[in-house]
Amino acid sequence: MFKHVITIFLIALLIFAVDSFALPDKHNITISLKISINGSESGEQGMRYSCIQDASVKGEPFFSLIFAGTKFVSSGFFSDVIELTQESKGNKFLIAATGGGCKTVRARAGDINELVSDPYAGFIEHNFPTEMILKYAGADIVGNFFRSGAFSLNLKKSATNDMQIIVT
Amino acid sequence: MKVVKMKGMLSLIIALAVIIASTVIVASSINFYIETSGDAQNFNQGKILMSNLDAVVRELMFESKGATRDFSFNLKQGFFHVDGNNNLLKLTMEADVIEPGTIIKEGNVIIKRRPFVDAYDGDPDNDDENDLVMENDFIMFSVKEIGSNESHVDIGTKDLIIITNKFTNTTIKPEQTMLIDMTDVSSGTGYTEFLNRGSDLEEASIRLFMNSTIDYEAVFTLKAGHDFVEVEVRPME
Repeated sequence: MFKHVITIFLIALLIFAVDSFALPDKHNITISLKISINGSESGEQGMRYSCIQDASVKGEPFFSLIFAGTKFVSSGFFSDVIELTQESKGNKFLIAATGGGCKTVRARAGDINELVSDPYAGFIEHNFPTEMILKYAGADIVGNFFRSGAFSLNLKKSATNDMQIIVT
Repeated sequence: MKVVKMKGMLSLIIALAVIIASTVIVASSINFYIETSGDAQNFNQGKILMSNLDAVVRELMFESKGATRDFSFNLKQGFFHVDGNNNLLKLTMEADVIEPGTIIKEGNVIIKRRPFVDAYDGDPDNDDENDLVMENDFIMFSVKEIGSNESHVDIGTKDLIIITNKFTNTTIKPEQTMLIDMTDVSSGTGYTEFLNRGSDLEEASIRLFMNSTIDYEAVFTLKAGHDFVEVEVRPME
């Protein structure tokens, strides 16, 4: 009985020693991006993001660094630089690039994890179209245009090239 | 007598409430069905149309030179693209019938519901140097192709990446600085590589390996429907 107690005590001591001497995973990682969009940049830093935008450009493009990791440390915005720091364990930075200005990030800052876990979600909601495609390895399709509504296609086999189908 | 009248009124009110509630439920069910069947109808019509067009093209391929055919469309929504550059004919529509990120083949018709990621070698900044490019419908993100696992070369993060915001058609080459515990690890030796590449992917990743004051790797990941790139930095102990 006493032998067993000693064995358990030694194992516990060993686990404690290994844990104590393991290297702590507490690096701080910082990513900083110096960005020029169109020369009229402005930006902001939030609790867990920093963002730069150019409202003078159509669609209000923005680029943002957003925290999506385990432990946030700091964020910063300095004229044309956005910066974010977090602990290395479980770190994840998002570099977002879309439209609507920094307010788009601000609006989604509370549900970043939800956004990250859904492979079809974005800062802006998008529709995903369906495509029906005919691909011809044995023919050379000639023509390049888009049509919609009611229309008619004329398909003509080339008079000179047996492989060519000219579509108008 | 009065109590009986009251009871009758109460029953009538309850009956009316039940009728109104069930009418609302039925009406919304019908509405949902019509919307769904509208998508399904367009989808099925599209399939038939493309299948018939394919038959016409294949028939024409065996005809003598100069033969012609006419083919009529009446699209309620979407558009048709004759893409001679890629040798294909494409009908694009909004139809919530198959799941996003799905590819199926029915006869000769390839049916794809976007979005996807393509990962390929390219040169988006036209500097005659190869870049590793990840692209979906919203973002094009590229990293300079530098060195290899067998051959580590000088590398710096300050001119490493290019990001195109496709929503606004804006391209930037950000000067990227990396710090670990406030030590600048933006330069050193190392390499970049694709972790996976190809077309119509669910996600793609590029890895940067850096021997610097502190060695580390950074993995950039782009998923099909995201308008952002995920970055994970792993210091090597």
